[in-house]
Amino acid sequence: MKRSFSESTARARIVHLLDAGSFTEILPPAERVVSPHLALLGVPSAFDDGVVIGSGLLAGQTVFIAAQEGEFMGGGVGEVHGAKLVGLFQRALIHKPAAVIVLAESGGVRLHEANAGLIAVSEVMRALLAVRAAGIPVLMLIGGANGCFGGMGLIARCADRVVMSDIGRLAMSGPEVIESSNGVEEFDSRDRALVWRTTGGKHRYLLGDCDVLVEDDMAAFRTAAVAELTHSLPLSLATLQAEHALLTDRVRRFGHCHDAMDIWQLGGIQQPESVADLEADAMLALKQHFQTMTAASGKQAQANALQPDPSDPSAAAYPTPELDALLSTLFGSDHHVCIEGDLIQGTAQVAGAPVAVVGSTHHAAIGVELALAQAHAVLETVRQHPKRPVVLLVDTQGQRLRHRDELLGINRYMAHMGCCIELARQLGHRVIGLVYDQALSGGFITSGLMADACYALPQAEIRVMRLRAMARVTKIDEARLTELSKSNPVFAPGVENFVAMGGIQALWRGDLQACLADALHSAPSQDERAALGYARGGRSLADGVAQRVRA
Amino acid sequence: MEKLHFDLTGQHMPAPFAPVLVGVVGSGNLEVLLEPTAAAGCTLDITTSAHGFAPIWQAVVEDFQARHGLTGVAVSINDMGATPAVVSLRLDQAAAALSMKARA
Repeated sequence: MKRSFSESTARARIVHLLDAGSFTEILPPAERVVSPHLALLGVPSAFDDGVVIGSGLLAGQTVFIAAQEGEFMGGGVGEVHGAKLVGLFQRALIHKPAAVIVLAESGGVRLHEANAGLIAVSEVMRALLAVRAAGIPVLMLIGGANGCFGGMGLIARCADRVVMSDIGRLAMSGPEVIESSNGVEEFDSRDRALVWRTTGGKHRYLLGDCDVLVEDDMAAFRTAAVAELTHSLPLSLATLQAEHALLTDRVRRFGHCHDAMDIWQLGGIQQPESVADLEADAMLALKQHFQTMTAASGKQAQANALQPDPSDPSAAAYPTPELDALLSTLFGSDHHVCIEGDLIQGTAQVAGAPVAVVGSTHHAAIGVELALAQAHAVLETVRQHPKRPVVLLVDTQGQRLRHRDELLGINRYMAHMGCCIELARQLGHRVIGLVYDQALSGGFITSGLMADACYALPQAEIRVMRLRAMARVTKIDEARLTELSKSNPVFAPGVENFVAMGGIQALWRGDLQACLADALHSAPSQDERAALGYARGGRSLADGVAQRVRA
Repeated sequence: MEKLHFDLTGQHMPAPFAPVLVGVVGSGNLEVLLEPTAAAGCTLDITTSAHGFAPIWQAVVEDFQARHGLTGVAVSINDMGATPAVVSLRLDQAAAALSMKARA
């Protein structure tokens, strides 16, 4: 009898994925490693904080595994939940399992502890990519009813391989968020067919954002996971250049499409309306046809692959006096940093040595083009200037909330930017982030939090969500949230809160040139943010939980 | 959110067992954790998202204990607004896992 993946709990998924009786849980429920923040907000916690982690055997090989429980807080990543994932990846670096498998089901950052969750997502990405660099494959299995969104959508696209079912969804912003920001005509979140063909397993499979499509069946997921165990592909300049060419090509070919069916038709699928009814087996043949068709028509696009798209609607160049002043303050007046639309890029001198500058301005919404352009600037630095430091200048309102960006797989574009930063780090580049204006929600993760260390100006604004919006979503009174936020940095907006939690290394005051020079000299290249958050009292648990998991 | 505590007497002492967890803390659902204790009787510690249902919880856990009569067992519950029927079901599922372990 078929056992549904989507209808199983996280625990049941692990039991039925692994060899019978082989699972050993790390920090099991009886340990009660729970979120302290939920109780504060009047919400019951879960004994495992919504994620089950441990080790077991898959076809006789030792694997590490994590499964998120989508029913608990939508699988949201909070302080403890995130630290368990980070700890599991760090443990994998020590014990070298055959693979790390994540059964992802999450709406992304848990709003009740949003600041901790946002930082944790970037910590998971760094820890995951370190595991890949060690030649240990990381697999994502996505098939839960709640999908894999937000920060988990970024994390998923950092993995070596992604396995999905038709029911599974993989994207950045949830349809409800896009609808509430830009209207029902932008994305009708109640149109289930539209939601699934934009974010669902079949579209992701045809585009290549998921490598294997399976039925909603535990045995099918297990078979796929076993087959993928040997697929290790650490980041390298060559692999990320190939990824960059693929993503650039995708925007050129499909960037004008309004519906997934337009994309499928362009890929040579004669009856795109029939895709929804096809079984996973039939999709395999369709995928091969889709790839052949797109490869044949893709030669021209590839020739121009590394150029930013000039048709980007946001590409109207106008530097602001404030940004001009900041650039002069940071780099002196003879820098070569340009502003093209929302993109900042160029070179400058810091203490007599060249640095690459990459960033965004005008409170940019990070869409696929901007993510690509930023990734391009980082990749070119890696290619042409080994070990040249990279300075990320952050001003973003977050990821672009458009149906079209989701259609193209914006989470993969943003994850690509994050991977480029990680590659730079692995190849000996220092990467320093500076939030000079706004850093909001998911856009901040890949454009700033992936740096060796991220700094901020005191007047900068960092947040996941305003308290009013948080009150609406969590149904907790805004006055109560305001009161609680005075003593707890974990969810409220504010640059000081991110300092307290270790996500921001320090605030820069006074001589900014000296601050930058000092940061390039002294910023840690290991991820020490959890320890910093503990020392500063803003994140009391994350570091200890990760330590217990890896011990 | 409300925290409740019940101490009930019982006579059935299960064989030594590893902690048992059933259910998830999702909307209209709950998780139940059973652990062995040295003390006699059955304790229940409940955290529930709802307010003012203590009498109903009392009735549900007394029914449970009337069915199973556990001693040497600590029950911990995280509840997200489950109905009494769902609570009883999860408690019985947990107890069933327990007796299977005891037989094994």
